[in-house]
Amino acid sequence: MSILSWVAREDAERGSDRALLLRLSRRDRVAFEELVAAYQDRIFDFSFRMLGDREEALEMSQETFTSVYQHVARFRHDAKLSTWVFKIAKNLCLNRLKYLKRRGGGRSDELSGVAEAKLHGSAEEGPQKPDDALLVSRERARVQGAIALLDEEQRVLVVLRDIEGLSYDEIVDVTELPEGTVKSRLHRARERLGQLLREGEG
Amino acid sequence: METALSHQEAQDLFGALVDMEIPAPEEARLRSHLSRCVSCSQGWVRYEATVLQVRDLPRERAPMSLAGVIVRRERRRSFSRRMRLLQLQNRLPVELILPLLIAAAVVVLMALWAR
Repeated sequence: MSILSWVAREDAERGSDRALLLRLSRRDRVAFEELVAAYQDRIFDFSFRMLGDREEALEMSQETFTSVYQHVARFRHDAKLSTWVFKIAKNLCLNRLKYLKRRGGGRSDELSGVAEAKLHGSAEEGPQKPDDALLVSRERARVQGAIALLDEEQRVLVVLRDIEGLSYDEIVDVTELPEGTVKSRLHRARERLGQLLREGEG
Repeated sequence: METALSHQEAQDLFGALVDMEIPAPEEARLRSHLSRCVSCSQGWVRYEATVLQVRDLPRERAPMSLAGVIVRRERRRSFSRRMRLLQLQNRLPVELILPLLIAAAVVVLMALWAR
């Protein structure tokens, strides 16, 4: 993509963000529905990768959109709507993970147990068959299991960059970390993930 | 003439290479190092495979009902917010009622005393 078309796309995105935000700040319900429709899959996927559980991801997605709607007046207009939505989702997911960890002996243990099981390919997936689809599904579960074993800050970076496909500028906005820090931490997170996957193979 | 990369310098560039955000001269130096160093070359293969495995994960789609649930939830919240506001507006605060009652009592007492 040329720099001019990138700038044009960014301008168009910010323009449509501004229009949507203006309508949201007037408590326009249709605008809220448009916002949810535009981001629900990305936010649900992000929450699922962070929490490793569909029910938790569903709850966090609901919380994210409700929070966006309630705090729309706080939006900094030099930011992008998409990164702001991701930032809210990230904070909610990190708080949720902290809560689950603090609660102890509850779902967090169950989740990390499932992650370990997935990583070692022993999660419940029905009888073993020499089936390509099953092997692919096992492999994906194994990768998700390894992601769930990363520490929270590393997981955020891997999910934002390698799953959600955010640019480094966008990740800087979401995490409020300097670009160099994002790059070096992401590099370490990918190395750790590779190590976890190799350990899971053994 | 440019100096060759150390092993650490080469490994630190894996992230930029996998993200295709590495300047051409750096990439040339890295490729040159990888062609000569078996250990870093294997490290690069592992690093790239890990990132590709993650990028290959299919996206989890939100359940069809999610948008409806969120919108209904927000409607319920804004309805109860409006109701609370309405109740507050219709309720007279104690600070207002008390002086009014005292004033009314004084008026009644004065009327009784005047008789």
